[in-house]
Amino acid sequence: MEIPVLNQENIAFPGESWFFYWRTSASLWESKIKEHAKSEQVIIPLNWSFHSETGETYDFGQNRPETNLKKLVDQCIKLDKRPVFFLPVTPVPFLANGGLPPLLARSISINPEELIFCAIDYEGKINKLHSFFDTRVFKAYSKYIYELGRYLTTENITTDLWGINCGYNQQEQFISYLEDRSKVFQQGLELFIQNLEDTDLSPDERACEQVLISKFTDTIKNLYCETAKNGLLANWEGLLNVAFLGGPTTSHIERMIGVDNQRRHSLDLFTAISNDSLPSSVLIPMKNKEGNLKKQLDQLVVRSLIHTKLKSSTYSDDEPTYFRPLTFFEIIEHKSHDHISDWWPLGLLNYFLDNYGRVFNKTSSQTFVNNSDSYSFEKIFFLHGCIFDDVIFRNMLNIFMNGGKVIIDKTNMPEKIDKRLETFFFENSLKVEKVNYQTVISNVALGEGRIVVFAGEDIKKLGTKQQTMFWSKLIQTFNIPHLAIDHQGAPDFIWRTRGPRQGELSYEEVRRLSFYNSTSYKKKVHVDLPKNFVLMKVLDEINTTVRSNSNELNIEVLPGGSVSLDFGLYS
Amino acid sequence: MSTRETIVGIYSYLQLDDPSLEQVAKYYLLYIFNDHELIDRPTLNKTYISSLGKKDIICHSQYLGPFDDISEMNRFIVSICMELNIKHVGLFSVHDYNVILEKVTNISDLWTAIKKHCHIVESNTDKNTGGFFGKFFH
Repeated sequence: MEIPVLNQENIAFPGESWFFYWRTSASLWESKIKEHAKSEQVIIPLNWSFHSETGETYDFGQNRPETNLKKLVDQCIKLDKRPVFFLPVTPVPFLANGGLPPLLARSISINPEELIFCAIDYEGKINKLHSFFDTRVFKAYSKYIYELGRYLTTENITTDLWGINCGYNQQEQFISYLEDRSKVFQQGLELFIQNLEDTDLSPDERACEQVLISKFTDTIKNLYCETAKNGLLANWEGLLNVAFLGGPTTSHIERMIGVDNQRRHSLDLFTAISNDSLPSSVLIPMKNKEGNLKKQLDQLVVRSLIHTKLKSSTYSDDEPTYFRPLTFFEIIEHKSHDHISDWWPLGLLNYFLDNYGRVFNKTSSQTFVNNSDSYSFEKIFFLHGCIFDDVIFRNMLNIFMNGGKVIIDKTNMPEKIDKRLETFFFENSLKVEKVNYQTVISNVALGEGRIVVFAGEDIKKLGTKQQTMFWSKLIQTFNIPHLAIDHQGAPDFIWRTRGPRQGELSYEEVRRLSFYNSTSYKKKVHVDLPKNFVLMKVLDEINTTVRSNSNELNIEVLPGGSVSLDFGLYS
Repeated sequence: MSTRETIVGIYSYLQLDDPSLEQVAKYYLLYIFNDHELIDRPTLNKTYISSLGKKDIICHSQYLGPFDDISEMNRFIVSICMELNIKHVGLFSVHDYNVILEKVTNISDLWTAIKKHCHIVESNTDKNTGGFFGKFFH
């Protein structure tokens, strides 16, 4: 019988420059980083249970050299690498007990499907997560943050630190490992409900169990996040969602029965990018990351997303070098209890995927509010009526007044917000144009800025074709310059963008279109080239044929094949 | 049709949060798989309609159902076995599955433990509800 030998690289560097420092001797850190860290950054996920078994006393190099974070950071810098700390604010899937010190792992976590919340790591071990709703865990976490903060200050470690909300993608939604339905959670929820003020929720919301669960979960998540942020302010850069490929139960089942479904991981990777999360493949064995998936992780994550997402606040924003995901549409989510976006029943997801690809981003309403000083006014923002409050209303107007575009589904919009919007148009003498197409669509323009309002309930009732037609007619009015790709029979693809470099200054923008065929069939695609798009170069061709003239492209990608095409865009 | 050895179903008893549905709890299958793959949804949907003689299947991306009771779910799973020419079957509630999961630490032990709890479907040609198959209905 063949005994599998785990590649030593996997143990300490399981993916995308994540360094599991506890999996190797401190004397080998320098050589391992030198040999295996592929990007400029070295991601160091902080392992709580490694620095403390009880949650009471902590070791940061006083006893075991492998806990010496100062030495680790210094070695990264010596090797011209930029260390970045990842501090979990949720259970983590790649550690036993979800990363809790053993003495604190008492209440096993239950996921929303009522299954034990677990993850399968790259060695096939089942890590069972434990509840962060246990008050003992929170108390111990606060102490951990205090001890960590004291250590970072004492040792003068200024390394950037990101809080990470760990989770996975399922059915186009990000599910956090914090989510729990255990007895401990239920007990906490009952106390939470008893202590709710009358003004916290409307009577309808109070009557809905899922709303209460959602509110309670968000409250606890924010508690952990704020504790980490306030305790580590000097290093804190922000909070990131990290989507672990191989996280959903379907992936566990496939691992268990020996199925290597790389295409599922690829599609999860694309979903993670459009969900504004950082994808991670650390749960997947290296042997299951060959071919297109390996290329995608390298091209889309290591050489692109890690740079753009982990930019230090002290660095300049002006970096045309790296490609970032191309995003035309920003969907602000109301996180409904069953995790289905309010926009998908209106056919918006299908419309995007069929006509544009994954050029949309979904963010929570909280993130929308927190990022109010960094909106990109070139995107079209989709806001659902039910998320509106005074703050969101103000931010929406800010976008409009700065030349941005907003599409609002006024379903369940609070009445006072609806009235304020009408008053705003009236007081500023803004002309409201109305069109009746499947529903009444109101359009207001001021310079480059636009607000479009419609009633989503009318669109929800339509059939798929009519919904697509509605979105097609509406989005066309925004004149978005883009290449139409016939999706039928096309390989999987993803768009990225960057600014022009020296020698490319005649272009406003450079867009990269990457095709990957992870099926067993040959795939063909035809692309019409409008006048303002120029094919600059074809690169990374594997098992692909590209035929082009000035007006069109015909691409054939064999099984396992891939190709990238760079287009210059000018007006 | 090739022989697959085992089929496993994991089910839950819940009320789907959808205003268009009847607001009562029913049984739903979350995952159905055999030794080689997760069973594709079109096959499951077709068998649901043909084996149970009803068309009120919910088009939910995650849940297959509804089933009024466990015996109805058993009938469905046995039909899948016969459709796919499978010898062993295991039907686990989420709680049953959790009991197994609590006791194992790695993925290969999990699969061994699941298969240990599966029943044998004796004859692929005997479609009568009496006899051996009657033992599945309770």
